[in-house]
Amino acid sequence: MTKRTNDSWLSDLRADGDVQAEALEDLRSTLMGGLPYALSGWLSPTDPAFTPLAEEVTQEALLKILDSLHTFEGRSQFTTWAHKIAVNLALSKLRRRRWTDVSLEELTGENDSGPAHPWLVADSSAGPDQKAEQRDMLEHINRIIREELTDKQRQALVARLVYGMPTDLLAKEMHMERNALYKLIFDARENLKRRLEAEGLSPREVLAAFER
Amino acid sequence: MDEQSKDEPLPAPLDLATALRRVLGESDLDWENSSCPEVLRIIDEYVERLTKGEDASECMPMVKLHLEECPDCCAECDALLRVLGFGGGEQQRA
Repeated sequence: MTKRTNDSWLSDLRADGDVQAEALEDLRSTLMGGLPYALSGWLSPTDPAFTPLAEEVTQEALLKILDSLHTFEGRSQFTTWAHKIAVNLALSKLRRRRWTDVSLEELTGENDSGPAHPWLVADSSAGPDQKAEQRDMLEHINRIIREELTDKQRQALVARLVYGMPTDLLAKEMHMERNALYKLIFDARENLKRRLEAEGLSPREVLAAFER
Repeated sequence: MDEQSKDEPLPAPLDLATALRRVLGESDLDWENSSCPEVLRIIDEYVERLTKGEDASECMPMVKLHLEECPDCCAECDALLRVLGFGGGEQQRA
């Protein structure tokens, strides 16, 4: 593979014919070489889904990079900037896949025993004293979530802020416009904090108890 | 991409500290539209500075703050660090 400076990457990718073809092939190899590390923890290179995803992402990344060459500002190595584009494409695809067909009700709903799945759960790596304090505080917060918020507020707050469900997918699932969803979550958060303070618990103090 | 298999577990919640900062904090809820694009625009610079041993909180404090609340951008930062040969992003962001 030809070793290139940022400027030579740019000029070779903007060139015609063989020069550009060679640069694209080198870039393709570079991106494909980085994806196993980028997707570590998400998708193993031995998973049958890995190679098709990597090839799809690399192809899309090459097109996006060619279209975006004028935006490269030289803040980093060109290859780092290129990897960034490929990583963003790959993780966006994997995130959407993760959330496809997730039932909001199953994620955020309750049964007779409480939340069907944990909303806020104590850190298992905390020491025993800290764990007990955290557990009590979390039971308090989970109870307030249950008592103070409407079902829709709880669903939106838990799915978005606790589980990190992408906003566009959550809005679609809840049949809401994005702005309406933000307002719903904002109001839920304000209700929660107001109730906490009314019970003598400052949000700031709660956060301090859980900071690493 | 294929649809999620019905046998796949539900997504895990975010780490507790991040979830609580989002639930009880003051951050702008529209971070995807307001902050994420800007952070992602310069995350390559941020990551390279980290790999050179620079103090993230000093050189690009707003990026560091955003990463503490945005798991998606944080995941992209970690992924880019791994590509550059710096695994386990957590300690790099401390």
